[in-house]
Amino acid sequence: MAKKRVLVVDDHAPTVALVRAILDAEKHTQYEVVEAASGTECLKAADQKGPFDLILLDVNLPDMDGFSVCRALRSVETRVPIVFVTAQGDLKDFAAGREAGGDSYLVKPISRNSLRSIVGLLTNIDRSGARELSKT
Amino acid sequence: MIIGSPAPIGQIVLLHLSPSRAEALARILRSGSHRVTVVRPGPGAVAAIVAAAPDLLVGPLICGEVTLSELADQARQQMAADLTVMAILGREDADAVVDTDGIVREPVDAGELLFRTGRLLRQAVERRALRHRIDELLGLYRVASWAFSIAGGAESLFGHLARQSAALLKAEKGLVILYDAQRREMEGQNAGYGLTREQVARVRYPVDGEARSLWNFRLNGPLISNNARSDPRLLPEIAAALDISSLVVVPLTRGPQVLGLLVVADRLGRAPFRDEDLGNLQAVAGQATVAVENQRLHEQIKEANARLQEYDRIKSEFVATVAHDFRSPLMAIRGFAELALEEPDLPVERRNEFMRTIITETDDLASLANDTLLISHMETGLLQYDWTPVDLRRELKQAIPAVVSQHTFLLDVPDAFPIIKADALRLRQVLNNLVSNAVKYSPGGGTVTLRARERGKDQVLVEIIDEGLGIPEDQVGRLFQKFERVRGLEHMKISGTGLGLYICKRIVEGHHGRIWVESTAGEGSTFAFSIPVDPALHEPQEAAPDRAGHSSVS
Repeated sequence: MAKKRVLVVDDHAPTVALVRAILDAEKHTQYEVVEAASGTECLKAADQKGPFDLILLDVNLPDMDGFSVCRALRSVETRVPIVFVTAQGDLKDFAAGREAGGDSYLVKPISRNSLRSIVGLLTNIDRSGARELSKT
Repeated sequence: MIIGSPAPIGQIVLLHLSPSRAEALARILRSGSHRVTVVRPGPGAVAAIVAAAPDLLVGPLICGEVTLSELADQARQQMAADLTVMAILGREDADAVVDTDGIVREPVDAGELLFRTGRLLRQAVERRALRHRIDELLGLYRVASWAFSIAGGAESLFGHLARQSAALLKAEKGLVILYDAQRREMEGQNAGYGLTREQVARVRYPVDGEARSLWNFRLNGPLISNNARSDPRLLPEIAAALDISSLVVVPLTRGPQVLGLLVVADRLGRAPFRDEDLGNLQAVAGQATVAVENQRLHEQIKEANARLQEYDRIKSEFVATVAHDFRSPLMAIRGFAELALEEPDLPVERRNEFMRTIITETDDLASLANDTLLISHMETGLLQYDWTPVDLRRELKQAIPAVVSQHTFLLDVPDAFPIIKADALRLRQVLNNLVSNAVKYSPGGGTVTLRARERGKDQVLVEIIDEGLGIPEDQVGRLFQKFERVRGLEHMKISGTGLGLYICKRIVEGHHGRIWVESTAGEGSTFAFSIPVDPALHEPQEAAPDRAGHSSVS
């Protein structure tokens, strides 16, 4: 089975290391994790290292906010699932995340199981959705 | 005139149509030691009565065009005072209805006239005393009704107290003087009554000095002085400032505590003050104390309310920080702990790596909590500085990390460096913060210089110089603000709360100094601060040097 490719965007290095460690520990699916510590790095990686099966995106990034990053991603790539993983948990942030084109919005701290299930779910939905899209 | 004596002596106006009869009656009254003015009924009668200001008016029931009672009413109105009236009834008045206070019948018997006059005068004296007491009570009532109303604010309250007190004692001037516990001073309160603002502003004197008088507050008892300019119990400069010649002073006391003084000065017509004035003013002082206390409580509540709102804002910010900035480290701690627990087959080195991350993230959380709490204390004014002698050379030496690192540390402090006065603990916090920043943000290693210099006579300058990443010029301005960090890709890989430099700034400012940074991106940074050798010498600081090619900010 092909590796699922996940882009993790967060300026908090231990969070990125944790996501990598959790996905590495998955037994039935293999993940390839690509890291980005800023909005610029994220857009560059999406452009040069894609395609990805899933993007986990922080909101509070050093150079730009995650919503702008999401909009920029969506302007070129509509299919990839984008999940916000952030410390910002206001209702207005949820709404902004959906408006920017995000598929889900998770507020830290997230348990290992929550992360596993959402990553597993979205990487599979994306594949079937991509297949359907490619038919049309 | 003595109250209650058997035969009071009075001022009597005698109205009579016949001069000879009037003279005969006047002679009888004068024999009883009364002062008698004979007034002829007619157009000028009322004015003549008013001018004589009598205690008793004696006359026939009909005085020309008007009755005796009508004449008395007109006189009362013009005198704004009481007037007792006695009618002399002729034979033709046998059946008359009489509305005067007393009567005698013609032919008048000398003994009866004196007896009846004496009784009426005694009543008049008693009635006047009663009227006076009513006026006092009304005055007190006016003060008291104000005491429970704080709507007018402090100034109108003190103005009101001054005015009412002066009115009660029929004096020209009144003033409230309050004790300012922080400055340990007595201070005249605007607006006084009959005094200019400039005069009131000059009433300000310390109370620690020699206990010469009530003016300087040690004597808690009340005081009357009818020679204010030369009275040794008074501060002459205050009496001169207020331009007063006589005064009554009573303290405003609550238990043993003296809140201030109530002063009334210069009786209308320059009559002297008497002991009874003291009693009246003391009664007012009781009410005035309540009013002053109310006013103070009101001010305190207002202040406390504003402070509470500020505390509330800081608390909300604290809660928001906790809710937000604690989440990322918490997630890392939780996630790595779960992995370590749930994956029994992890290689030992992986497991150790997870554990180390948990520990560093826990440390980050702890320092975030400490920093946030410290900032809360700083912003709510709870942080107290503890000034002790500090050896800066030693402190700088101790700020050099003990662990082996790829950095070279250079201590650059002149041999004869003065011992300064500072809060050792807080200053250490600043030095540790700046040195650890210098190390953190020069990942490539290099030299970190810790330099101290004397600057002028009473300032010291401390610089922490690194050869690290430096700071882009456009970001220098916000670095000392809360939660602000350098936004650069290299910088962001280094963990930090964005609170360290803000704390340094607050502490340096707490030492009456200033902190700034000079940096060139890619070449390193110099963080510098200057503080007084002794915090007691906190003159305004000179501006930081602004060298070409460097950015500087305070």
